[in-house]
Amino acid sequence: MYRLLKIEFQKLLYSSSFWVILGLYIVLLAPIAFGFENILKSVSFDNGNHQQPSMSSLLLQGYSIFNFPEVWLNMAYLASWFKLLLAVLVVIYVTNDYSYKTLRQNIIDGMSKWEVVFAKELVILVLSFLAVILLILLTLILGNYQDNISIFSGSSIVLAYFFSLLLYLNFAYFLSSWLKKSGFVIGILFLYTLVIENLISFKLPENITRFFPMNLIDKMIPNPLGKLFGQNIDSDFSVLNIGFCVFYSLLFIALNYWMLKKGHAGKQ
Amino acid sequence: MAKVLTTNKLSKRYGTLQVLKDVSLEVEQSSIFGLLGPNGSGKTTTLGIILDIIPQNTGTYKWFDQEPTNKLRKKIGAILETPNFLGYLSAERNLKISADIKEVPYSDIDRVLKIVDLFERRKDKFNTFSLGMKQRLAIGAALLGKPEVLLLDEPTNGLDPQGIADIRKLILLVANQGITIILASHMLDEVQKVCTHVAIIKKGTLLVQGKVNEILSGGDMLELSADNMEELHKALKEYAVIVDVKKELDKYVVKLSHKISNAEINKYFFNKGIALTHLASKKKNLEMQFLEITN
Repeated sequence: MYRLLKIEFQKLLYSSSFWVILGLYIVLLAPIAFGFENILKSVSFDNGNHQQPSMSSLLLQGYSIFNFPEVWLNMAYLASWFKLLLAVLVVIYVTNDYSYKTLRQNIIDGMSKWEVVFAKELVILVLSFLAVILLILLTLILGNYQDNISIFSGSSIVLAYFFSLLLYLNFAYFLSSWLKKSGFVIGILFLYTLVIENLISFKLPENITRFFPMNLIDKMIPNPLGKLFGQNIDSDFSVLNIGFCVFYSLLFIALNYWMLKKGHAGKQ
Repeated sequence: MAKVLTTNKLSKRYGTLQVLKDVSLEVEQSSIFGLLGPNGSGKTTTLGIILDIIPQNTGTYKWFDQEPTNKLRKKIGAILETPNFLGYLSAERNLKISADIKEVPYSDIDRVLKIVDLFERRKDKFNTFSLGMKQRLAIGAALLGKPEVLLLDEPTNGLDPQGIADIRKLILLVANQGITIILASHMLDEVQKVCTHVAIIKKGTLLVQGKVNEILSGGDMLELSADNMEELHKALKEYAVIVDVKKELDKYVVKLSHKISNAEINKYFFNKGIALTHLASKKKNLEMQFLEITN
């Protein structure tokens, strides 16, 4: 396993895209969080009618997106958008191995097909894990400590974040090894994430669509904005949802392996 | 002789297109084995199958008389079609990845870089290399861990004369160390110059295989004619050294089993009472012979 990680991380650590994307992830997350905070504040206190403050501005008195325990969900939700960035990294990393034909050369040099699939899965696991660590660190640094509230209250959302990221990155991995061309894959991935799944779900009953990948992620890391309007927003990371994340991930891994077995590496 | 590679009736079909049909090859240890055939004849498909990149439809193959596994592939240094490296990594970094895959210590990297004369350029990105250098780096990577077999697919394709000469020198250097070489090529003279054994493949079918000096001998031919052609024909049939007789207009063209002098031939017919009006030895050129085999 160490050998596989060493092989794959030499491909990653010396590529500029890895550092650019990881840098963006680290550097952008905090400023964007502050940006949101400011936007919310400016909206709520500038409704032009100071005699009769609006419902939302009342709710926002003393509210900050950085208050514990809400900060966990707020940060997880913002970080969840950054999964697109991490997915692009996975796409570049996997499709590089196809466009330079190094994946095929790795097999020729003596990697088994399972090792080829598994090595990349290890990278995805490490990336997801790193993203979670970063999320935890940022939240602890940025969070406003409250009396009587444990800073770890609500922190279990990071588990949901980890599994949803695992699902999403494995989806990107699968699309990359299937379609092989990075631009094409990124296009399809974004289209699916933002449009296609919604189109498919449009006419289908909710108890089916809730298990579609993007819906699943939305349920696990819901948009916290509704809280400002008094809605009850809760993350649903039931065993069933986490089970589905793992199931999808395993399915994508199995498909990747099956394609390699069928001689996918030999085709242009 | 121990067999490095045996294939048994390998066949491959893409849809209705049969690209490989019952190809059975045998590669002996320490030979330089040429897989010769025109473009699109199935050479790369054959190599892809024995390297586990392309699944065959039917047939089997064995490396070193064993069922193929990824562990056995670590003892094979192979290049398929083009040199395949990550362009954004240095030559050395690319070789480190290969070494990690083959489980060869990094200390071997400097050795192979020196063999292929790229030691000075080892820190440079692969993208900055010329085609000849890329090809040499690929051979260097294939030599990591002192493999028992080196498998090269059109290694001189697209190179300038200097590049071609470098690669051929390298191949012979490696062969002299007792490493078996399998060389796929569409260039007849390359196979004839470098190889000890050859298999000729066309449209996915194996036409012939054996030693290069038997199959691509260049063949000694004679042209003869005499006033009495009937008598001449009879005498030719009785002559043991002649293996093949063909009539061409006013003369016979014959093939000899081994080289003998024209004087000796002349004497034989003179003793039979036949005076030759025409006797000429002729070297059959390789291209003609190749076309003869492949047509």
